[in-house]
Amino acid sequence: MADLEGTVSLANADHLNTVTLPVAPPIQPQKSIDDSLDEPIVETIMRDLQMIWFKLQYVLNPKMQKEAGAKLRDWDLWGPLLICLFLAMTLGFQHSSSTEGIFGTIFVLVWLGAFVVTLNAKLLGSNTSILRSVCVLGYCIAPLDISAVLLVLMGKEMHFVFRFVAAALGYAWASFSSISFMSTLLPEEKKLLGVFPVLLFYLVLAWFVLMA
Amino acid sequence: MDTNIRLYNTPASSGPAYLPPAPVSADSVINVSQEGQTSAAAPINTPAPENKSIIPVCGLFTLDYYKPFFNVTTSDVQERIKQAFIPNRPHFFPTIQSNPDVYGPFWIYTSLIFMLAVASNLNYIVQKKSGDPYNFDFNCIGFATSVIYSFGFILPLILNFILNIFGSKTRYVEILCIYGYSTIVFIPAALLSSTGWSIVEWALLLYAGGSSSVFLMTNLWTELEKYILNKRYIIMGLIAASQFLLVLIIKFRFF
Repeated sequence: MADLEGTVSLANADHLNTVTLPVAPPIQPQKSIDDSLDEPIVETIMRDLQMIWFKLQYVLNPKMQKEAGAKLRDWDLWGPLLICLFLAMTLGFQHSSSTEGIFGTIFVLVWLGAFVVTLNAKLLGSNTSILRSVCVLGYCIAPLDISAVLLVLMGKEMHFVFRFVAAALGYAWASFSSISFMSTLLPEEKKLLGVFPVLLFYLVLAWFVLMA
Repeated sequence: MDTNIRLYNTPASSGPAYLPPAPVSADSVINVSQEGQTSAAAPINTPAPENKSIIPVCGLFTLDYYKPFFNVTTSDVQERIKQAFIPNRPHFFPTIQSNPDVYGPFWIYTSLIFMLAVASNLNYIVQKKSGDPYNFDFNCIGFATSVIYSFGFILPLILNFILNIFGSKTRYVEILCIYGYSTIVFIPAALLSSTGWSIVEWALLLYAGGSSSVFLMTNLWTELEKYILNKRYIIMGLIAASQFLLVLIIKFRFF
């Protein structure tokens, strides 16, 4: 059996010592566990709130979405929880007779809806992580929060058209933010299949905001 | 070297690298593993290397079990929806038999639930006198959810069961698919029924019930043709009755 023998030559040998890899800049300097155990609680809470505020800005501001989506990769569920609670409370306190019903309905709708929409994307073949997608969908509900507050400020006497416009603007903003995320998850021929449930989800929430 | 050489490409992880030569036949079998080393191999009649994939205990709880049912593209779903609006052509069933999907039925039912809630609310707004309090009935959503999902998932189960008893070889997913796409006529019917005139509501809902029944019967005709007349009429009667029951429930609860 003959052996293979020969020499291999590398063409740009002088570049062998320098290797450049694209590295995403670190988002925030993460403290080690020991440091963060000793810090005062205010600092911990402020840091978490800053992260939530940062992600909220990213989701709400269309211009920021052109940047890398890697910043959304470290998901958290506090933000969506706060947003969902705010929405449920805003809608619930308008009907003092059936607050629990509305609160419960909104809460279940938001979390179950986000989970089902994510499951749908996964079943269609996307390989995103479930909680990251739930996180983004939860953050994108924030414009509907703003719409709900606007409608409360407008009051019940306002003509229906203005209330409709406020809710419609919130819906359009929320859908636009989440579509740009959802369309990265699926290939071209299945994109609409993944986007339609998102639109339906926000439509249901916008309907609640308008009607309650 | 004049010996007969048979080469087997085996994965590197299977079997030991060294084996004593077994007394098989005059031909020597040389096992070539992936590292390129040759070794005297096991005789031909050893069992194949074990399958290393992990088979889950109950596949029903993994996502991968359900993935084949979502193997459709946007144009597939659009095409199926278009076919579902035309009840008297039997092209639907052969199209889906090779690739039934659960995406269509599930999201059509969900959209229908939402559309019923919206239409019911609009109907109430349109019909109330100006002095009545404005009241949003949140309970109708729960009711709609239970009714539509049970109609949508359990009726195909019953129908598939009956068809299989009578000898057909249909699968639950195929019947579910037909049922799901046939329900799409209810969505525009419900939306347009919110105008408030009773006669319009009845007309639209009866049309929706009739269209979905005809769609179901036309597409199951190839299966139904195999039975004698009595059984065929039983099944057709059941289909029609269930669709009209749905129409009645929708009309009286939501409008």
